[in-house]
Amino acid sequence: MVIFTIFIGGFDITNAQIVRTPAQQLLITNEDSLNAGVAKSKTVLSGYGNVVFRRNFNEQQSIMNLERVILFIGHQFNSKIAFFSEMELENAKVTGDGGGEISMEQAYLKFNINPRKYIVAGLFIPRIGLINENHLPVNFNGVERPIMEQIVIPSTWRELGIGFYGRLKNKPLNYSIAIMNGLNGAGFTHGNGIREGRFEGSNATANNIAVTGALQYYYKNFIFQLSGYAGGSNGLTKRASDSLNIESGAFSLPVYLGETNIQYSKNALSAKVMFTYISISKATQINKTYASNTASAMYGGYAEVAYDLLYSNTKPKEAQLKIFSRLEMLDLNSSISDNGIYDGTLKQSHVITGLTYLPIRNVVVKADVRLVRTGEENPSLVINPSPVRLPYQRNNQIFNLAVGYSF
Amino acid sequence: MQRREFLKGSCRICLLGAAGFAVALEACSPKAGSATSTNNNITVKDKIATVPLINLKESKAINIISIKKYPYEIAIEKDKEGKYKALLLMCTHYENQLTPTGNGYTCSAHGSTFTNEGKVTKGPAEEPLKELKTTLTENNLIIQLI
Repeated sequence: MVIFTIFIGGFDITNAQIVRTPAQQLLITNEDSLNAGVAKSKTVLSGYGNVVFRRNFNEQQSIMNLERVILFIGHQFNSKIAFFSEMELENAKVTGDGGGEISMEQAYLKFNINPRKYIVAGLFIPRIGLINENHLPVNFNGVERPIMEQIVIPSTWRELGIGFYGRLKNKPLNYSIAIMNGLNGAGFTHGNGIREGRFEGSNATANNIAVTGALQYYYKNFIFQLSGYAGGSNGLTKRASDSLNIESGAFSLPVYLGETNIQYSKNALSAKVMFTYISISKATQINKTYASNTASAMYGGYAEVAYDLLYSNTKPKEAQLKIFSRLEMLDLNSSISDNGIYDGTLKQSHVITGLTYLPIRNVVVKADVRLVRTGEENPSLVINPSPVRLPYQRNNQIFNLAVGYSF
Repeated sequence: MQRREFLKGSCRICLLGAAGFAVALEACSPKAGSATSTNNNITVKDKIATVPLINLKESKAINIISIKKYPYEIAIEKDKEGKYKALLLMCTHYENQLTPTGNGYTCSAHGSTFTNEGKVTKGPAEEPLKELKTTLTENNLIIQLI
């Protein structure tokens, strides 16, 4: 095993080699009593990324894109305190005309209380849905992350705050609770759910806050999860809010989210189902103030089944070739406020079928076809259309191809 | 009035938060120099853990033990020949603590998963779980910690 290791102070090379992956870079600086072998100060570098080819058949447009390159940098100060970060570059380069984006996906300190409980503080991803915590391309089927987990649950959804994570000693039950900054209701845009209301760690208002919690239970080959979120989406001062005639306070203009999912995995077969519901009960005030046509309720769900064609009980292989199919259904305006306008195009179903090939566990080649069907377009929402705009088509087909990696 | 209530409420939350965080941080401070500890009759001295066999339930295929002041749990499995195997429940990717799932272990940091035997089933981890050296005596299982 070849590892690139830099030693600054005293060290034990035997212990260092035991637990390193080849791609990780370590800085070892000290030792510590009982935890001598596992508590060295060290820095770890890893990451993931993917390149995609996409063909939209309605638009007759194909694109290729270095969609993501992410670097993880982690530092373990001692056995109890560690730093984790993920820095993401989207679309290969950042230009002044809105090309790509550099952002922090995570940057938090982790304080281990004991092997089963820890606290995180900083920019972190709460446990809501599946993709939020498990978004490495080698760990989900399909070139695109599930559509529902992009626009109903706005993955990867990270905010600033403090979270407490734990699990019971004698039962396979995980729990988490966190307090974070709230959303920015002024940022909600029609057709994107609450996605554009995320602060993502950048100058978040903290007059409004949010709480989120999750329970995860493991039973044989199943994982059950239940999660929830409640937070205010108005971070303006009382004075500013009064002037706009909207409510103010920590949980003003509240957004409530409930999510549940079940995963099953045994031998070659894996399956998952998920459902999410979001309520924005005071969407009327948001629309009155920001004219964003925000819906008062939205939902999404999906079911996926996959089968590994290379799986063998008798001769285990590292390579995997999964054939999968996923059905997603969502409606971003399942309920609208008094001053909202219904948009049938936001009621969608997606059927995705494809292959996921992993020659080794951390390299993936993916191909899939997504069939899209939506409701009718509402003509009153088509304002100043482009002269070359194509008539709206309720059905579309998208072909995706990608390679990805993680290490 | 509202300002007073806000300040009162904020102060209470801050005090509670600060107290809780201080307790947590206190728990997060490594106890340097203390190389001996006991927990559930498990004795540790100079990175050698002595686990009474009475602690290991025969009815369980895998016993998960915690050692005081040690940052990771250890999974102990007894095979058909009566040999004990001890796996360190530390993800080999970022050294995060692992969660036992019944049919393996999972890491919440980046999604790596491992079998009960410690083999990687899902990345980004690349290396299997570290197996700790064990020695069996009449009444105890001796585990060499790292």
